[in-house]
Amino acid sequence: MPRSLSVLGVRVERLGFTGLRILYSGIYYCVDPGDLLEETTCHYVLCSHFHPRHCSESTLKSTRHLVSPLLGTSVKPGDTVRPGDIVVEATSAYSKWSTRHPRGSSIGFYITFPSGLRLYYTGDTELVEELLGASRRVDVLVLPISGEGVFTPEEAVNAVMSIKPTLTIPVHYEDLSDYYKFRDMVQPYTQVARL
Amino acid sequence: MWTSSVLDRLYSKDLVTPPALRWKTVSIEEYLRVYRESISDIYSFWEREARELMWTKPWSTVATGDPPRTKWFVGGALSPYYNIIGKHRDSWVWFKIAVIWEGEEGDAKVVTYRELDGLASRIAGALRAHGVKPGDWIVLYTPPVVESLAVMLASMKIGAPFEPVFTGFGYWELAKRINRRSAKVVFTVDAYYRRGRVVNTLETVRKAAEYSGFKGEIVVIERVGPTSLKNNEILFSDFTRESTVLVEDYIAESSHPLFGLHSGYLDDYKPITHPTGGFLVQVYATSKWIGLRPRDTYFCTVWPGWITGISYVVFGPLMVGSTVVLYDGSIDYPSWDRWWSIIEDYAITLFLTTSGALRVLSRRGDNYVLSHNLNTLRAILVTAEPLEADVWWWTYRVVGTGRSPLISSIPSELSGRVPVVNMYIQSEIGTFITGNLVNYTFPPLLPGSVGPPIPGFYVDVVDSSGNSITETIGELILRKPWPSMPIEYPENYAEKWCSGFYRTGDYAYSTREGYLYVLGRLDGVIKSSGYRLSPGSVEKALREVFGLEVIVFKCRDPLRFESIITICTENSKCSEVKQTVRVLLGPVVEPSIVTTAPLELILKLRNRRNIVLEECNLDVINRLLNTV
Repeated sequence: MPRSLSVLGVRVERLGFTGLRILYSGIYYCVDPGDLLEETTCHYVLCSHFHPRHCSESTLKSTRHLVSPLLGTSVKPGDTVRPGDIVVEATSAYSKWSTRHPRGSSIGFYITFPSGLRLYYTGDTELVEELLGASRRVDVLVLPISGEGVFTPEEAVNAVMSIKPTLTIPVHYEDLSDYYKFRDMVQPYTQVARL
Repeated sequence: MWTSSVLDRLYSKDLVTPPALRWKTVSIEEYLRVYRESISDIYSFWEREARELMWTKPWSTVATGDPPRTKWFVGGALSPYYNIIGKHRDSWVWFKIAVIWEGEEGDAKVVTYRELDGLASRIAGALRAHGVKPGDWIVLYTPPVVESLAVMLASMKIGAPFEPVFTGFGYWELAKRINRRSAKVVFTVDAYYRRGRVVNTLETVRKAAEYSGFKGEIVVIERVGPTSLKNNEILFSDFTRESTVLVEDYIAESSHPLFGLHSGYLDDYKPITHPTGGFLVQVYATSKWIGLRPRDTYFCTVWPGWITGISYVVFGPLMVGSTVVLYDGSIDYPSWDRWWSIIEDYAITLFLTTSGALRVLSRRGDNYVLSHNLNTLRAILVTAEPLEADVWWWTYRVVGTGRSPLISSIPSELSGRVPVVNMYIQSEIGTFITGNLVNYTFPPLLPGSVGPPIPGFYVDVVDSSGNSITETIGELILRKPWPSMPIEYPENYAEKWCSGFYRTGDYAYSTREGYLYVLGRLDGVIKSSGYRLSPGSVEKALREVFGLEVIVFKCRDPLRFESIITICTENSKCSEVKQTVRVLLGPVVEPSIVTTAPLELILKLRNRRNIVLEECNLDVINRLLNTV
């Protein structure tokens, strides 16, 4: 697996179970770092919700530059904030058929970089109306595929076919067969990269 | 004869229909009907294919002149850049990924067609601003990096032909190429990683520039960095930053030089230049036929510097609109599963590699492959040298089965699933000319063979009198010219046309059904690990630079196909031959054995250059010396 992937001047690394560390113009942005914040350089932290594998209690306590649904700079779907050089729009993310991510507790991030890159981190969500209805351009899509209150591999393929990203990075899976199932189905519709 | 023992290792009687192509496979007889129709009038055949490109001025005559001076699409003009990159503008391909690059250290980078166009246009502007004009040569000496791919595209955008030089060659070989092309600009990287070590490329370029008296500019792509520069050197980032010139696509006459390579002959490497129109027609057609499609993610382990890497990395896949994966690193770092990991991580659908690499990988055991899920593979293409039947079967079963059953494939039994297609190519011809075509009419595979000839290429096997033969070892020839006939070539190439057909210089065997086996060179030129190496170049370098008289032979090597033996005069310098060859000519040319003999024996052996020793050991060499 590559340890990092650079697109339009933005360097993306995996961080823990589902998170990302993004380097742009010398500033590190960490998305859902779990409990890895203390051992990682992060200038800004974006938390989609407060499950420990996304944002642990220690993470929430240790950062002042936090964007999340409740703590730090509090955002809800549709809100836009500008941490550092980037523009972050909070997007809807919730489970409709499970109680894991009730509506309002979780968000996703649509991030625009000055270099022109548009990265969509869907957060923990199922295939909900708001996500399918969005018509914005996405260069890099980062989405969960394990089916535990989030997309199943099949639903993730549906999301890709609707969003039409140039590059897709699946996250939030423990069983590699989920990755293979997703990869094999989605390959003609986007470029998959396993980070 | 040694060719018989090669044939024994290649030969197989079992025709194989891969489950993935079961419903598409036709009989070899049906295929040959289509093929024979194509060669009954190759001019009409290739004229039809030429219409697949966008020409700004149509040709008046399909072909004129007798070979080797045959010119194709005479009077026609087209933009090579438009036909590779520009045509994708305003289509969905423009926003898809053109190149995925992964470095040995694990960092990766992706570039869309739109970004690649932006980068190539900036480089084109910079080249123009630095005084590069149409017809001026650009030389590249880099490992696989996105920037050098963009440089080659930029060269085409301004009508400047280019020659990529394989970084496995040393400074003496690079100097020759810079000189012979009268290069205006040389592109290189500061350094690159191999097996975790830093290889200093810039130092080699500096030595080559000094040796050749090169006075132009050296543009240094920052791969490892930082680096301090000398007077005539400029960093790639500064070079492109200064670019403000908007460059229109160069419209090239069909016979305008597009790119060149130095091809290995008995006495030296000699320059070959391909024409714009004919090459683009040939490479676009064959790229589609071998299986490339816009939605493919394609990993080719051969880098430009060799003809497969130019035709099927720089041209074919980008013309089709596929995504190309470039890997800048060693096959075995950090372990022998690196390539399989790349296939798994990026959902590779088409994999092109050399038989030499497969031979090595097959000896490393199955586990490196089987620990990865390679289900996305649609086909495995093989090039460069003979592929033994047992290596073919290993590739088909272990690499090509996948984890999920498909039609009649049985993953647990490694029964094979996707086609493993061995193909024949040569620098002078420009593209594959034999092989089973995944996206054309597909006949069953014959393991170890290079398949039947590809439509449009009149391929035959002949005896020493030029008569067609089957089931007997002869020489592989082309009876008629092909669209990408070189426009600049050495006398050695012209001589190969003296019988009215083109002698490839390779031994071959044709089955009664029409499948071909290629068995290795008949003229003393060496095929080692997929590289076509000139023995004369080693002799010349050691004589001119090192003051040592040597003779170079080849021996059969179970891993590399052939290896180099150097016999030098009894001289204290002999012990330094390996290291000297490594520095002057490059690691790929390093002899496996160096031994000594009196000068008169060496001079006598000069008349027996096409000897191939059956084994690479001193006993066999001594036996040879005793016969002189």
